[in-house]
Amino acid sequence: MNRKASRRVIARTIAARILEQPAKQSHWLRVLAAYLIDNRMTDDADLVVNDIAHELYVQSGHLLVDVTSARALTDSVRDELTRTMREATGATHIELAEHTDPALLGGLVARTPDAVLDVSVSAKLKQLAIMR
Amino acid sequence: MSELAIQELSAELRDAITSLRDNNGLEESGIVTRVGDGVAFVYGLRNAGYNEVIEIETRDGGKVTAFALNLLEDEIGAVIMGEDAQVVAGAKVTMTGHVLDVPVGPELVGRVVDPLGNPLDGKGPIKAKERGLLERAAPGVMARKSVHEPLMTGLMAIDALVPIGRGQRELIIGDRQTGKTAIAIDTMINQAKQKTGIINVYVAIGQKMSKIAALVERLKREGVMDQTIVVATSPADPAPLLYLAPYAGTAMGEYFRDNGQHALIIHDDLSKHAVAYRQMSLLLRRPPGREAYPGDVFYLHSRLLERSAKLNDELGSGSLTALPIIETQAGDISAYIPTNVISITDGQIFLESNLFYQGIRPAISVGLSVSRVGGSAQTKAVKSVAGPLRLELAQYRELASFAQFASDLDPETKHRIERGRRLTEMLKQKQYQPLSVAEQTVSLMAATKGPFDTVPVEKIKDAQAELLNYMADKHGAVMKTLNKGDKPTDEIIATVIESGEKIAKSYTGGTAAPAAKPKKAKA
Repeated sequence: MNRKASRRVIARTIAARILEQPAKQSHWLRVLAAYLIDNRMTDDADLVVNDIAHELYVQSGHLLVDVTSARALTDSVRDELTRTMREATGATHIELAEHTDPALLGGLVARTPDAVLDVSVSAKLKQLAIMR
Repeated sequence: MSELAIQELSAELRDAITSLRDNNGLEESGIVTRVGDGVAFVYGLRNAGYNEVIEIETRDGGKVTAFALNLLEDEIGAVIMGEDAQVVAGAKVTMTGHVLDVPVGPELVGRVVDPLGNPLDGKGPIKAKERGLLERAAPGVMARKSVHEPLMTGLMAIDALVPIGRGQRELIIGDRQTGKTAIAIDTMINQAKQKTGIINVYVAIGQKMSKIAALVERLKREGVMDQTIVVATSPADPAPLLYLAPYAGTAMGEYFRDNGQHALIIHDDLSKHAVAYRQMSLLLRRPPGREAYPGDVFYLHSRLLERSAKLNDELGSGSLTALPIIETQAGDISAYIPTNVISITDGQIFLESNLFYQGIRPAISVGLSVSRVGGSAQTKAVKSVAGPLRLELAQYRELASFAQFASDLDPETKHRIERGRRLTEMLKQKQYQPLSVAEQTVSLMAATKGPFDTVPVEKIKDAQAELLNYMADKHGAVMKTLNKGDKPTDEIIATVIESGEKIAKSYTGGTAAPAAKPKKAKA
C-alpha cells in the first residue's frame, strides 16, 4: 500500500540528501517538487521548506534566520543578532536572510524554523494596547 | 542626514542591542494550518507537551487559549477553549510552558465557577492563592487507607442498605427523571445539617442553566451553599469545557483531601461527559470505536475516579468521596459507558423508573444496588438494625406476587409480606428531608423489631414522624447517644421499642393487622 510520507519524513530525507551532496541541491529540490505535485501537497510547500530548514539545523547545525527589520541592519546589530542566535540555539553556523518592513516602526523580528524573536516596536505597542 | 535622524538611529541601535541581550529567549511558535468546530491544527511547536496550554492570536489582536491533545508527526491538534470564530488559518500560536490548572482553595467555597475557575455568580474575582493541576496522578497504593468512616447521605435506604464511606466511589445510575440528582442534593444537604464539615463539589456537566440556577437556589435555602463549590457547564458551552469540568472539580476537591479535610464530589453526569469527549475525539480525527466512542473512553473515567480516595494517616487522613451519576436508556445497565463506570466504582445505586412511578422514592432497586465497601463504612447504630433488613426485603420481593392471595397463605408467609410492605413504606423518604443517624436507627428499629407491625401500611410514615417527635421530646438523651453512632445498648433498644409500641397503638385499626409471627411448636 502506498502511504503518503509525512512532511517530517520528507524534510528529513531531502535535508540528508542535500547535506550529502551539496552540489546536487537543485536536483533534490526538483525531486521534492515532483513528489509534492504528484501527491497534491503543493499547498504544504512552505511548511515543507520550513521543515527542511529545521532538519538542516538539526543535522548540521546550520541555522537559517529570517530577519525583518524596520531599516537595514547595521554590522553591529547583525553581529549581535548572530551571537544571540548562536547562544540561544546552539547552532554552529548562522545564516541571516534580511528583509525590511517599515511597518515594524523599529527593532526587528527574527524567525527560525521553530521559533521567533520579536523585539519590534509594533509588537510592543500591540502588547500595550492589549494590556490596556 | 540631519542630527536628529542620526540620534534616532543611534538610539534605535542601542535599543536593539539591549533588546537582543535582554530577550535572547526565543519564543517557540507555530501557525494554525486549519481550524473548525472548536479544533485547531497547528504546524510547528515541536516541543509542545500533551495537555500543554497554547495561545492562538486572533484576528482582532487578542488571544484564545487552547490545549494540545493530538501530538502528531506533522502537526498538533488543539482544542480551543472558548469561541473559535476569531481564529483563522495562519494565526500565530505560542506555547505557555504549563499544563491546564485551576484555582483551588477555600476561596472557592460558596462560589459558582466554570471549569477554568472563572466566576459565574457575579460575586467578583476569586482570589485563590494556589492552583491545582487538572490532570494529576491518583494516589498510589501506599498513600491510601481503607475506607472506614461513614459518609451519611441522610437517606435511610442508602445508609442502611448501600452504605457509603469517605473515600469511596459510589455510582448513582438510572434512567432520566428517576431521582439521581435528588439523591446527590440530599447528600449535600445532610452534610450541612449534620455539620460534618465535608466540603461539597457539585460538577454540572452539560446541565441546563435553569436547572443549575434552581439547584444553587435550593442549596442556598438549605444553608448548604456555604460549604459547596459548583462547577457549572451548560449544553451551550464548547465540548472542551464539558470535558474539563469533572477534572476541574476533582482538582478543587483534591485540595481539601490533601490538606487533611474531607470532600464530596458529584459528577452530574458522566454520560454527557463521555459524549463531549466523543465529540472532541471525532473532530480530532481519532479513530472511533464501539458506539463511536474513542478507544480510551474507559481511561477517561478511570483516571478521573481514581483520584477520589481515602488517604493514610501520614498524609493527613483526608478523603475525597465521589458520587458519579450515569444516565441509562430504558434501564439498560449493560450498555457501554454504564458498564465501564460500574467496573470502576466501588458500588452502584440503581434507580428504577417503575419503582419511581409506584411512589417508592428514592426509587432504589435493593437487589441491583450494592456497596463494595459495605459494613466497614457503616455506623454501628445503623448497622445493628440494617442487618436483617436486606434479607427481609429480599424475601418480600420473592413473595410479593403472592400478596394478592393473602387469604390463602400460611401465617409465616403473610407475616413476611406484611413486614416487607411496612419496610418498603418506611424506606420512602421525602426530598430535602435527610435523617440523622438517630432518626434512621429509631425508624428502622420500629420497622424491623415489631412495634410497627400493627400499623396500617399507609400510616407508617405518619407513625414514623410521630415516633421521631416523641423520641426527641421525651428521650432526647437517647437520641443524642444514638447520634454518636455507637451500637445501641439493650436499654436503648428497649426504650425505642416501648416508644414505638406506644405510638403504634394509636394507629391500630383500619387495615386488618397481620397475624402475629407463630411460635415454634415444642418437640
